[in-house]
Amino acid sequence: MNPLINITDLSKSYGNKHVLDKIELSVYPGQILGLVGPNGAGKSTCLHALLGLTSYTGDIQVNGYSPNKQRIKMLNDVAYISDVAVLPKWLKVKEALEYMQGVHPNFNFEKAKAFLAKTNISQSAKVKTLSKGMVTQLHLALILAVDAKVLILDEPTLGLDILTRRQFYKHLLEDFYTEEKCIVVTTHQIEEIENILTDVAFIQEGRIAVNANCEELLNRYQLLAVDNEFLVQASALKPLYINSMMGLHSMLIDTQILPENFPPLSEMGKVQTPSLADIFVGLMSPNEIQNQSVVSEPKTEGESI
Amino acid sequence: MNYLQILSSFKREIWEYKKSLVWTPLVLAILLFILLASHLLALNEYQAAKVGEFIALASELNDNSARSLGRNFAFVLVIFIPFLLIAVILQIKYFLACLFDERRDLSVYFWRSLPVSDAQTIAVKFVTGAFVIPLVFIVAGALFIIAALLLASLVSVFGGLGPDTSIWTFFSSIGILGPISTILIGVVAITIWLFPVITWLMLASMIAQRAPFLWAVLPVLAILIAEFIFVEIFGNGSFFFIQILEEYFRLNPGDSVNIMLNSDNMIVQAPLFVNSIIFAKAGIVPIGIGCLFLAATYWLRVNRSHEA
Repeated sequence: MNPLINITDLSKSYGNKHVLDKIELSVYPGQILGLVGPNGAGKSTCLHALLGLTSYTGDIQVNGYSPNKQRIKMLNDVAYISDVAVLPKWLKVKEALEYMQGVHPNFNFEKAKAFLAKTNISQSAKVKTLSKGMVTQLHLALILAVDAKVLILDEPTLGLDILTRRQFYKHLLEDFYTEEKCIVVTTHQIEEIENILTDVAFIQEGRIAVNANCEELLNRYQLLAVDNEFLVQASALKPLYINSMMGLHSMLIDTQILPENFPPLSEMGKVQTPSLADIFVGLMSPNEIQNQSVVSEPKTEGESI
Repeated sequence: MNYLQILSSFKREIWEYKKSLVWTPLVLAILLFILLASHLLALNEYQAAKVGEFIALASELNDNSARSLGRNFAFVLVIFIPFLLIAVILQIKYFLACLFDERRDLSVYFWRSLPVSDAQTIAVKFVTGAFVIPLVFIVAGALFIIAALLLASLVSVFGGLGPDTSIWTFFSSIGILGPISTILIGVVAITIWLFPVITWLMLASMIAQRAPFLWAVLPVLAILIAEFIFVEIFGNGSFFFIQILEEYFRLNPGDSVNIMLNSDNMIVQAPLFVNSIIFAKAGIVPIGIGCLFLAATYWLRVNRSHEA
């Protein structure tokens, strides 16, 4: 199966600052990839490069097209929602529908109208009269009506309330997603979408730190709520992350580096499956902070860390 | 070429700049009409009869001679002046805003996520500013002239001229198509002449993070002031840029304007005047500079639209 998105050696610099550094990434049909990283990690720049919105070095193929050289052909099969409210304020809803129908060969006017009919957005309304949530709904209606193979979402629910956020992702799965399509989404609220992601890529300082299937990742790492008597023993397992609060210690353990014949983790405390957010924090926190936590462990039992 | 896509792109410009492209010419035509109507409808019977007499006299004088045609031509042309002056102001405003506004409100992210090429977008914006804006004002001016003539006819009918008189002869003799076609040729000629200025304004609109007007004016002013200081204070060289700009903007149509003004037949002579501007001003160098500005505008939209 050919990937819908194939990124090879992607780099981008502003002067001496490397925003993207040799990114390698592939996204296949059926995948919903979460691109997760701290602010300034290069997520949006990576998506802009994917869309041909910014210059770059390296090679990108989206559905077989180069975003730099074949941007218009590529955009016939790609839809995009940005992290900022980008629909112009002067635009009327019916004008947006008419424009999309005029310029986009894969836009389904009736589908967009049907989607809008489920909302309380009037076709005669101007974007400037709509709330932020309604603007996002309108944008989603326009995008869902495009028969795109690739959907790119850059923090699409930023600033929206919890109900609108959930509704957004519900519509996304029900009205857009099929096994033939792929979605790339960046978000800070990873906990809200981790149940819809099939894959995740953690990006830090312009580099892909982790790129894995969500299920494999969740099986690999375990969250251990350590009993105090096993604290030193558990710390020796080089936990990726230690969270100490009110005398309770949680550690994120990489099960692949456990020594042979090591007793089951469940003997040292309660074992839980971590969330992607836990794994993200564990993997992306600077080593110094992790080591500090380990170093600052109590010398004597009973003392809190 | 996808004509539906091009048409939709023009619609977008009309929607975005509805105030300039629809409301302003419409309001101007209506205001002028109201002004005229308030005068005509306030006429008493005697004054209305005089209007009728004037129309009858004008109809009699319309003998299709060159002098008669020239007189009507000038009459219609003068009415278009306020429409064209406002069109020029709105053209400047449009060119400075057309690539700036979409970046200011971040809607450039939306527009550029759709399969519309940057070349097409820039071309549509150029055509809208250079031709569509003057065109809508010309249409508004033409509608005003037709409405004004109809009103004058009605007044004259009530003034006792009667429907069987020479109103319709007068109407047909006015002939607004001649002046309109001359204005349209003039719009094309002036666009060719001012091509570097127009594309410079578009480039300023594309470069500016704020205040595109200042981006358009300040670099030129800076060059002129620097040259002035260099030449006047240090006494080196001569004025190069100042002379170039003076030469570029000076209208020197040669003898054709005198031929036109002294001629009885302005309809025949006006295109000659217009053509003389084209040939006198539209050199390869200004056109080349305009193309460079346009290419820079395109490059910036492709590569720098989303970067502060």
